[in-house]
Amino acid sequence: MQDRWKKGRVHSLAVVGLAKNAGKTTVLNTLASRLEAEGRSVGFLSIGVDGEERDVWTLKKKPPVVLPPGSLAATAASLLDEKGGDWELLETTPLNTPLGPVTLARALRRVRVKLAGVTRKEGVREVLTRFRERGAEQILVDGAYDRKAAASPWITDAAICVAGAAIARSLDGLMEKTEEAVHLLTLPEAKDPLLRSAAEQAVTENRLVGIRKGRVEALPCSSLLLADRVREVLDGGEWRGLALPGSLTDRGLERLRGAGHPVDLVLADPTRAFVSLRSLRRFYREGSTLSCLRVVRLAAVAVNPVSPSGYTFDPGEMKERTARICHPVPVFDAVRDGVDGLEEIKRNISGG
Amino acid sequence: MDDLTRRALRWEDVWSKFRPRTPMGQRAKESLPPFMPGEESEWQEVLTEQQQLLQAFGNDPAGADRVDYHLSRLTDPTGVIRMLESGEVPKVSDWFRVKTFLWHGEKLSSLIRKAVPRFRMETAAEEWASALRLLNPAPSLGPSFSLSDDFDSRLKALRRAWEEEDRRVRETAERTARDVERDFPLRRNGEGEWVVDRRSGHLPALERDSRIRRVRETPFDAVFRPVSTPKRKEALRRREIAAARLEAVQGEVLEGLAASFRSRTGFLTRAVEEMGRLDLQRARAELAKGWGGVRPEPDPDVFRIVGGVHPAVAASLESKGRRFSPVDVTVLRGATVIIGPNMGGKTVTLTTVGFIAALGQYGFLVPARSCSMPLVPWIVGIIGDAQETRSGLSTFGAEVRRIVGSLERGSDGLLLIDEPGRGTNPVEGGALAAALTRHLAKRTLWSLQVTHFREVLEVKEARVYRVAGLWGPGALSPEGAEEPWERALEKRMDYRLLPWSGEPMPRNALDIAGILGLPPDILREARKRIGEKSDGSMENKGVGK
Repeated sequence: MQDRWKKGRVHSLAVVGLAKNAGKTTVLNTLASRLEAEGRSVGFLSIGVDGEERDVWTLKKKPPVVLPPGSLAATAASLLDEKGGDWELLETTPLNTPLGPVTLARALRRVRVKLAGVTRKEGVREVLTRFRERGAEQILVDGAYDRKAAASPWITDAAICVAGAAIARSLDGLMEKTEEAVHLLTLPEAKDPLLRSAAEQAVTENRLVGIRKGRVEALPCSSLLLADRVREVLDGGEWRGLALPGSLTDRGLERLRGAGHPVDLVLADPTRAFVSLRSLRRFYREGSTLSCLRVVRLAAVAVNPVSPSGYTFDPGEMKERTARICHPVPVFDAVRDGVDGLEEIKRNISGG
Repeated sequence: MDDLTRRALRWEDVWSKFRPRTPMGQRAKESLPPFMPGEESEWQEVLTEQQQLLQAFGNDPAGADRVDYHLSRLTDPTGVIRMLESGEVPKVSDWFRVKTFLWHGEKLSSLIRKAVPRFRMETAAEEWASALRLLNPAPSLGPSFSLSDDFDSRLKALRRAWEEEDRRVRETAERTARDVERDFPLRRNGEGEWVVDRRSGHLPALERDSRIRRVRETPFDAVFRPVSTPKRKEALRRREIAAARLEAVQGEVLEGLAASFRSRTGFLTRAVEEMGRLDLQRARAELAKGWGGVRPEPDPDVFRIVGGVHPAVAASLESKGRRFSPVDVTVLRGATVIIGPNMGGKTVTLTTVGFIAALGQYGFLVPARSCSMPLVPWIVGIIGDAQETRSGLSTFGAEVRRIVGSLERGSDGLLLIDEPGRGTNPVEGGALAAALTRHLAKRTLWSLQVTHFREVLEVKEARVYRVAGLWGPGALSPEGAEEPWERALEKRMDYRLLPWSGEPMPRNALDIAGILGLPPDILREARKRIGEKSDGSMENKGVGK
């Protein structure tokens, strides 16, 4: 079983929620139990603040993050004092949280902890490196609310997306939002060498890069939101492809429709896409395409049919409908499927 | 130095590059005072140490990297020292902060003692070692911190006892759960709960089963947990007792550490100051390395700068493909004057002198080939437009007020004035500049001023420099008209300062205006006007002889 993880080379796995209270912590704890049972050394960190006993917005009680003995954690040192005797504090990093610098610590016993989040991507990468140097075989990154950034392939190797009932009041609404999120997270990889070259240049130089007449050309603006500059650019010639260094929004897509012909659009990675499925469908209908320089390896979608607000969806129906939407990505319910539900995820990761 | 002087000298451009790495170094920078008259020996000691640091690590980049590595990881235990002084008991994370400080501080202390034996250290190697040992009772030293068993002989047994009780708690839970799972087709989730579909045929039996209890339900599921058996309750109680005993001893360890370190707060305070000072010295030396800094020698009477450079101005010029002409100048007590054409670098000279003087006073090796200087209680630069609209002062008014403020100071400082009197009519301005120069010449402070007024040259007591100025005949050679003015100017301008020996006041303003692109017809008209006027009338306006 362990070999499968190794083959897949998934050292860092992000758990991202589609909304606050989606159920990330439960998924995280389930993964931790499974990894502990396999005797694997695990590192835990969060992007943004997480691990509080109560949700900051709704004040509802949240499950704590429980670390198996030997696990590594990155959090503010003061949050380790509650059970100070249960920790070996290893090093202070130059990264800061509102509660003080991020400290790396090793759990000497099973311990509950609040994870004060690392706020910047560079910081997360730094912690991942230090965890690996300290022997963490698997690193779980808790992406705080709306932080799908944790799933970025520039940061983590793979991601699990948690679709919780808290996202929408109706199952139809939940399915719509899940489909949108999963579609965006699984945007395909750009294969055309010219498109890839444009995307690489866009990322390196932080500006739009276009393709016309078989050539890659850097453009004098960095975002589709700069309306006048974009219009100037689009009016300047027939662009077959366009690489964006930053985010893509509905407004950005709308501006591209002004080109009057199909465009192959490429992003650095799927976490930069903030568009609605409706806009995207219209964009596709015009013959345009959207792809990414690097793709997210979506290991699974976790479903949680219970909302902290008090309503619940039929777990079976929710899982079944989610599975239809997400196929072939495996879907599991951390509460109802138990640790057995992770088997398929592991197969998915090792299958590449 | 007041804010206007700092701005005029472009002080922040360089000060912002002075970057200590540690929190205590950064704090020391914020409140760093300049050396004052009477502190010459301390001043020279600081400068010597920097030279020694540069010498020691100049040929040992690996050693320099080690110093920087430890400095960048040094934590600040000041907050913990305050806790100890106020009788509080620091927590585990506080001790970790102290240990990190001691771990890296001890390494730094040892490195510096070896590489720079004469570096002033206020702490002894034994003090570092013994403090570190208190936080690291295990035989092998390491940078991490935990309340390890080595702190107290009881800890090992108590931890084992707790682990044993924890194992029992788990076993009792596991036993009950296994029994339930043998009787029903259920599997626990990661939370140790059974989530059962409410439509399940087993639900009524589960509801009746006394080994489990329903903890919550949703319209679709019922969630069950094992009921606490008397055995499990007893196991939980025993684990709680074991935990309390363990925590009590851990608390005693923390209190013991606090007691041990309370008698060492003096050492810790000195150690923090020492590391802050080392960090400042390293940061100073690093910055000075960039400009090949030399030690300013103490001289109670004379500022003597040879090959002086202003790094920020030099960097600006370099970015435009130009070069800074190093400044050679001597400023004695009394009045020193610089004359020269416009764009001849007079103000830059003024700024460079002020900047080097200030840098020296803040304990830096200065950007020059050689430098000697006194320590002065103040430096004032009246350079540029200090117009204060809110207080109703014009350029001229603001300049006069600042001159008055400087003259009223009871001590001898360095006064730098850029073209005094230029803000009013040339007749009065010239007279004022000359009178001020005469007054300054009689004073024992150091003044350096730039002027275009020839009346100033009549003050025999003043020491005068002139900028060598434009060379070659005429304003523009035919080919010169085609090249950018900056290049044209640099080609033709000799920025050197030469002692003035009675030459006429330079008259290159029209040539320079030509280089800068003023239309030829205007220049022709201006030249014609000069020709039409008698020399005497021009002299009255102080523009030349």
